[in-house]
Amino acid sequence: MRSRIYSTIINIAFLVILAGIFYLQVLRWPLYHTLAKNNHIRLIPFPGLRGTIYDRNGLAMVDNRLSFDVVIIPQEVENTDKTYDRLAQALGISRARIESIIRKESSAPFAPITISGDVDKDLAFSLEEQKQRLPGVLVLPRTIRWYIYGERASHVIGYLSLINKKELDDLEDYGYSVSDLVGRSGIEKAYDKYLKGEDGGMQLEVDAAGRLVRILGSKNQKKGRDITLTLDAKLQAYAADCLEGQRASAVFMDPRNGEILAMASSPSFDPNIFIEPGKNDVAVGYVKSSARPMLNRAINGQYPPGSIFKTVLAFAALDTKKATVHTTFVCPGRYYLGRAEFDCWKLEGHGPQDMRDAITHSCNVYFYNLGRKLGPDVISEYAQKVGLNKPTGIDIGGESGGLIPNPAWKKARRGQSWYEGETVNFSIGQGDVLVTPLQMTEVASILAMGGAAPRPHIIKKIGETTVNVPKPRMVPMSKDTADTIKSAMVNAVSSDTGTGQRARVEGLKIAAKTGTAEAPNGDPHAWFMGFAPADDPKVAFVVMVEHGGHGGVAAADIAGKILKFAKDNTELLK
Amino acid sequence: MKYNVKSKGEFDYGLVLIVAVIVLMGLFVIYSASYQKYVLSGTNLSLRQLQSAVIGILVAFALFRTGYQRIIDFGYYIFGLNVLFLVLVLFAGDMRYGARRWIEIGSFAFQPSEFAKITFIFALAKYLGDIKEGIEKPKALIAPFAMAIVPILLIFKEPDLGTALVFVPVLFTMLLIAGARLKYLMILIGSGLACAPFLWFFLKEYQRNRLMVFINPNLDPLGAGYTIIQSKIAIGSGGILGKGWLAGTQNQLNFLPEHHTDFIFSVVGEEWGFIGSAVLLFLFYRLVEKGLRIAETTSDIYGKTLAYGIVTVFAMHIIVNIGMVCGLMPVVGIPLTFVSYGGSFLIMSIACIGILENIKNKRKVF
Repeated sequence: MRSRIYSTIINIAFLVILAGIFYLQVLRWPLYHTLAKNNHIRLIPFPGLRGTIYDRNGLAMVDNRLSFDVVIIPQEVENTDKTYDRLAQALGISRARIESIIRKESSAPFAPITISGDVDKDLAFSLEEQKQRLPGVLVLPRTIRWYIYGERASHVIGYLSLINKKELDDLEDYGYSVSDLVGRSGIEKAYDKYLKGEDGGMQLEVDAAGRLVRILGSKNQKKGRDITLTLDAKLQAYAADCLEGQRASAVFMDPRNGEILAMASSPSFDPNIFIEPGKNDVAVGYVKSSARPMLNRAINGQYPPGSIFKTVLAFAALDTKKATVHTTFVCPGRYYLGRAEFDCWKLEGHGPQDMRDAITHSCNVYFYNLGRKLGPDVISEYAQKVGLNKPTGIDIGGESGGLIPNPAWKKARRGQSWYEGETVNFSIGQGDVLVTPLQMTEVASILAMGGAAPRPHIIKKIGETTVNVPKPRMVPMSKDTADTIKSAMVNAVSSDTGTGQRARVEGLKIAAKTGTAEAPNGDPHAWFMGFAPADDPKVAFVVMVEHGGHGGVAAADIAGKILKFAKDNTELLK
Repeated sequence: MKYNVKSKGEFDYGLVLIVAVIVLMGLFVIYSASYQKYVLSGTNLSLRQLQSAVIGILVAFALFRTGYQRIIDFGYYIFGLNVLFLVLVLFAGDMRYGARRWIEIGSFAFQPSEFAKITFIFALAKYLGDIKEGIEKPKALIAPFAMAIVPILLIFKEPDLGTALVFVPVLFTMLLIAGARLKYLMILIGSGLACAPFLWFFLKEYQRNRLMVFINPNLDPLGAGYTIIQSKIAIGSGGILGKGWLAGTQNQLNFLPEHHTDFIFSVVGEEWGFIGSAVLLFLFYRLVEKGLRIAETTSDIYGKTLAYGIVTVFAMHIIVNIGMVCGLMPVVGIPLTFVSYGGSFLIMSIACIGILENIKNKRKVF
């Protein structure tokens, strides 16, 4: 009996121990396995730099630079009062602010908390010198993305922000990690996988005292691939400056190959803000602003083209032989369709106009007549021939396609028949027509090159590899047709009665067409579209100012200034 | 001894085999646990352990030939001598790890406290055998308690709480088997538990901390709780199959303190996994079972109490040691029988096997 008590106690004790071992080794193995690994393996990351972005001349537009973050490890601070006060004084912020940052950001013991990111270099050095007096405060160097041109090239280049949970799930296999920044728009987004550096790191085995036992593995970090753009940084910056203070955009493109030389949109945003800690309010401001600074108006702004659309009608009429260069209509200043009256912009009338005159003077009545002769289906067909109604295929993506209406579209979309009055409006680029500035730049290129439509693009080289550009699409256009339209556009600038004469540049023959598109809620949109030099086109351009008034004033002035700058300060027109 | 009694002359080979396997496993584990030391200084602890094992076998053989009855006759004197050494160690002992536990004679050092366990058992067995049914009187319990309290206090003073505590279950088991009244034993256990809180004031700071962190190891994860946390990580991370011999990171990279002595089972767990731990635990269980069988089948009251005392020492060391490295019990530093590195304890343990075999051998035939 007594020995039974004894052996029962022993049996139970052994069973309990067996259960304990089973629990630790079998049931809780995943936990302890991880803990053991964390115990002896340390990872030291070497972040891979993002590729540099250069302009066509090798000027860096986006680079990486060293920045200094002031961080604090609260557990290592010896005298909290003294340290916080000194730090507050040095950084020029209140002590309460420091304390609130620490409270908010504190995640794990001994994890450094950033108090102030990207501080002034002098401040960083002075804090580093005071290290002994400020235990627990560290200055950590970090490489950050540097958008050298700030607001002036932001729409094309785009910006970065921290990867979100969903993207991480999708991209984890491609080497993205939690703290990665990913491109959000423009080149940074479209070419993210090329630009992105490959993070390296070292896996160390350490012993209980934290001493290095051996290096388990190391991987060198790799810089992402550099990208060379077709942009001319100087022209880009100047164009952006010219648009400042207006809601406007400007596109300059080489019509021979589709290289975008400048693409500016205003208002703009500073991409540096998005990676600067503590500037979140500014970033939110960008997104919320009614002026929509994040919108790239050059590819996403869709507007009625107004009179610059007349060039498309001229092409249609000459190509279908519904009219010749000599076809003449008399402009009395207004046009009647039944009881409806349509005005010419010049109310006293242009008098008899042939096609060249009509383009030069931008006579509405001439094109009302021409449009009705062609009919909406033909106009629509030719608009689509020159690339309207669909994205141009530029390599930064997210482009809008605009809209070219026709009777079938209207029936399908609105269930209504097409009215003759709409044809009249359509003829001068009004009504339902919508185009983007880039699409019209493409039209300007086709006119400049006599039918060759290049593929607009911004990337010239990735690393050392030149990006293949598809051959220009050919829009069948006779030489006569091209010459007729071109000479009329030249007159628009050079003739004293031309609508675009304010764009004149000494020593540069410009062919252009103005546009003043009626817009709801305010002044009309101002357009100016053209190419130069007229006889050997090297630049095709569009300037568009929202509610800018007369195209021949607001937009032509800007275009002229930029062209003069291009001629004087760049190699583009040589 | 009487002439008309003939011994059966049995020998339990299975018991010897089990012990041999456990000791051999222990040698491998010690080799791994002290591998870094071996690489750095050339000190091969498993070789030293093997030497101790050989000494232990010789001692066991000598005791087996001598016969337990003859030793019991001298039980009081041997115990008295051992107590003298325990006094001596407090004054002239060699200080290691902040405790005076070793007596050095030339190059040979030993722990009198380890031998005190067995000499105490011999002395108590003699007392219980001599007094026979007299143990039912409460007065008869005074002497056993006095015999136990002397070494307990001396060892506690070294300090070596774990070893001191082993005397308590040994005392109670032997009294229980000898036939002491359950009522009195219960009263004693009850009053002992009631006094336990006061013991708190006699504990050293580090011993208190160990008890505190047993309740919550994260109280002081880098201090007192560190050992138990790291030990659990070592065992848990071994998983089912273990990380392999010499491949335990917790062990080899020194995350585990005392890994060749008190925490040797963590190394078994880490490197040999659940399978290794369970096999070792099973061997221990068989060992205890066989010991109990010998104790049970012995009618001689001297031999019976002696065997129970020895089995209790084994069982206590096994259960408390593994229990503490797994976090099931507070950390009281006691070694794992036959496995932990340590000469005195190994010699004593193997010697005890010799005694057990002798008890079985001398079993009376009816």
